[in-house]
Amino acid sequence: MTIRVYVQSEYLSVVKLVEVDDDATLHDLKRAALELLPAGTDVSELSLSVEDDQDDDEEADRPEVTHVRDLKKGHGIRVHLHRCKHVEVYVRFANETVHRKFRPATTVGRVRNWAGRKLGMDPGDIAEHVLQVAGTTEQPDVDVHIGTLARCPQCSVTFDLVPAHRING
Amino acid sequence: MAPDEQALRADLASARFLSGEDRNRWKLEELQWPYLRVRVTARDGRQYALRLNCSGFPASPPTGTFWDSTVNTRLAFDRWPRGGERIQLAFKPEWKNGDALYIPCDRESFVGHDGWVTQYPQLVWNPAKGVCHYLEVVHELLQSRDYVCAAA
Repeated sequence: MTIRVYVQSEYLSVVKLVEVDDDATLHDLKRAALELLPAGTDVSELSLSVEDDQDDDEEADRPEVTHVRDLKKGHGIRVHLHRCKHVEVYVRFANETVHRKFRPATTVGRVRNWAGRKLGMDPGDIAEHVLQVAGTTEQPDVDVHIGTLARCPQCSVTFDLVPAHRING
Repeated sequence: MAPDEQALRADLASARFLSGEDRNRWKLEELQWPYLRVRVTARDGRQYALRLNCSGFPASPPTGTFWDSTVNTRLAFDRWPRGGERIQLAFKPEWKNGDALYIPCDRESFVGHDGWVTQYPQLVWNPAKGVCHYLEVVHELLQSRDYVCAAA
């Protein structure tokens, strides 16, 4: 049986898909993911991180996982290839800035939820805001990994938390 | 097969589209060229079918509306998603007789709204994002606080 693995990376502008065997090791998974990168990419410093629905605390203990089947979830496995272990994230809202490190495989949606809570918003208010990359009009989809938005060696990204659009006129 | 149909079929097999399916954001129902039917999941778990005319894809945006797949016709207005201001502005039956959603990435609705390019650059059709762009905009609205639910 094969498992769908969705791969994002600082080297990829769009999410890619690879299928691996249920009994593949994480080493096999990483090798398959690396093959999706553009030809000539220096892969020597790339680390694989796994999107985690449960906990984005970079200090949290995680159970040792050796096989892909141990990562299996209802919605496929999602991983990220990045040279940085963590990405520094800054979120600006009104006159306040909140900051912390996240793993590259953390989604924009989870960062938004964290920032909203940190800024004292209730869940309903958070859902009415989106993250916009500072200095641009780019509002990445909630499923985008923050590692995709932060190239090494900067390994940081700054967002503005802005209201979701109301289509007037 | 025409290039636009070929491009759409490739898009439906893309990681972006399949990822959305795996996250239960949407589900492909049927492609009967040029019409694509996809169910989009709302905050309360309800699924609303969209029927999109995808001719000219991806250079030309899709256009479409909520669909009742059981009787193969536009969804009755009293069963459209209801809610607050954001929902009412985007999903308004009186617009185009209910045949298009009032969102900047809809082909028919974009006509005559040149200002949307600067007003809502993120919502204006982006061929590189493919049909997921349209689906993400609708999904985000159906997940918003403003969404209440359709009438029973």
